Amino acid sequence: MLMPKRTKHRKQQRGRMRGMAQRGSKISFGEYGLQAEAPAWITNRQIEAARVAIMRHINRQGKLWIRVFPDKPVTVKPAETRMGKGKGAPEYWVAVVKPGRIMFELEGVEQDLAKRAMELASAKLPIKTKFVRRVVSGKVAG
Amino acid sequence: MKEIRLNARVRTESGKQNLHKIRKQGEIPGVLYGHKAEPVHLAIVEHDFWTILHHATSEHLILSIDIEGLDEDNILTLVKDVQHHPVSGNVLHVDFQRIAKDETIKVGVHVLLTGIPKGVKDFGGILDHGIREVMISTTPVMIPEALEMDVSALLVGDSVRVSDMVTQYPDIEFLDDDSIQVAHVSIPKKLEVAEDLEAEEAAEGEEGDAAPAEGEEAAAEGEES
Repeated sequence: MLMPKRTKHRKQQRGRMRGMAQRGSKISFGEYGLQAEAPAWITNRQIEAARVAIMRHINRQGKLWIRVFPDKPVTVKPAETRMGKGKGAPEYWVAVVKPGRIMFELEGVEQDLAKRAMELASAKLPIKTKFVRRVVSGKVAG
Repeated sequence: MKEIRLNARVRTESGKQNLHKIRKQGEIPGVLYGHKAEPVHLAIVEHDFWTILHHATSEHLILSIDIEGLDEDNILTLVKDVQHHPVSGNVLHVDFQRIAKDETIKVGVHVLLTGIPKGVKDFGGILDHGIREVMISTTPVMIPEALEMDVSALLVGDSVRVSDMVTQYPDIEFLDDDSIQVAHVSIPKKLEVAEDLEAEEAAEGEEGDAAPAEGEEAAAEGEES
C-alpha cells in the first residue's frame, strides 16, 4: 500500500478541505481519468482497492497512473480511552482530495472498458466521481 | 491556420465580485496584451467563444478581434492562455496576445497519431504518448491545425521522436529537442504484472481463506451436531 518512506513529523493536524483542486485537475498522462466531485480523505487502502479493481477489469492491458498520494497520517485514540493524555497513535495514511482532482488516469484501452473500470474503482471510493476523457478544446484528441 | 473573427467589448469592471457578475451574464473576462501596447481588459460572449473552441483542434487559435469601444479594428491575436473551471470545465478567463501577420511566433501545435501500430495490433504492446503538443516557430498564417504522424509501422519497442517529425515536416521549425518522444510502443507488461498480481492474489487468498475456513469449520460442526 502507498505510504511515505519517511516523514519529518509523525503526526499532523487535521486541517480543512476548502475550495477546489488548484492543481491536478487536468488529464496529464493518459486518455481517460477519474475526477473527484467532492472533497474527501482517501485512504491508502481505498486507493489500493481502486487500483486492483481497475487492473483486474482491464485485464492488465493498459497503463494506469495514480495521481494522488496518501501523505497525511491519521491518528486514532485507542478504544475506551478517557479524553486527554495526548494525541493518539498514527493509524493509517490519507490523500487529501478536493473537487476537480484527477485521481486515476488510464491509457491503452477502449473507452467502454476504461469507463467500466473507472466505475468499479469509483465504487471503492467514499466520494462521487466523474469519468472524464482527454479533450482538446471540445474535440477528442488522438 | 484559419483566421476566425470574434467580437468583444472593452471591460471596465474588475475584481472578483464584478467578474462573477460578468460570467453570470454569459460573458467571459479576458485581457489583450503585447506589442508593448497598454493591456486592454475585454469581455467576450461565452457562447461565441465556445463555438469557436468546439470546432478547433487546439486552444492556440488565431483570432481577429473586433473590440467595441476601441479605435482599432480587427486586431490579430493569438489565444495565449485559456483558464478552465476545475470541475465544470467552463472557461473562466482568456488571454489574447497581439501578433502581426508577418511576425514569427512560437506556438504549440497538437500532434495527431494516426493508425494502429503493428506492435499493438499483433504483439499486444501499449501505445504510449510522449508529448501531445510540439512547439514550433512560424508566422501566424502558416500555423497548421495539427501535425499528423503515422504510427502504424511501429513495432514493440519502437518510438517516434521529434526528429522524425522534422524529417516529415521539413518546412516547419521545431523548437523542442529532437530526442523527445512523441509516441512509443511499450512492451506488454502482462507477464510481469501477472506475476505480481498472482502473488497478491495468493496472499489475499491465504488471508481470505483463513477467515472462511473458520466459518466453514463452524458450519461443518453445526451440521454434524
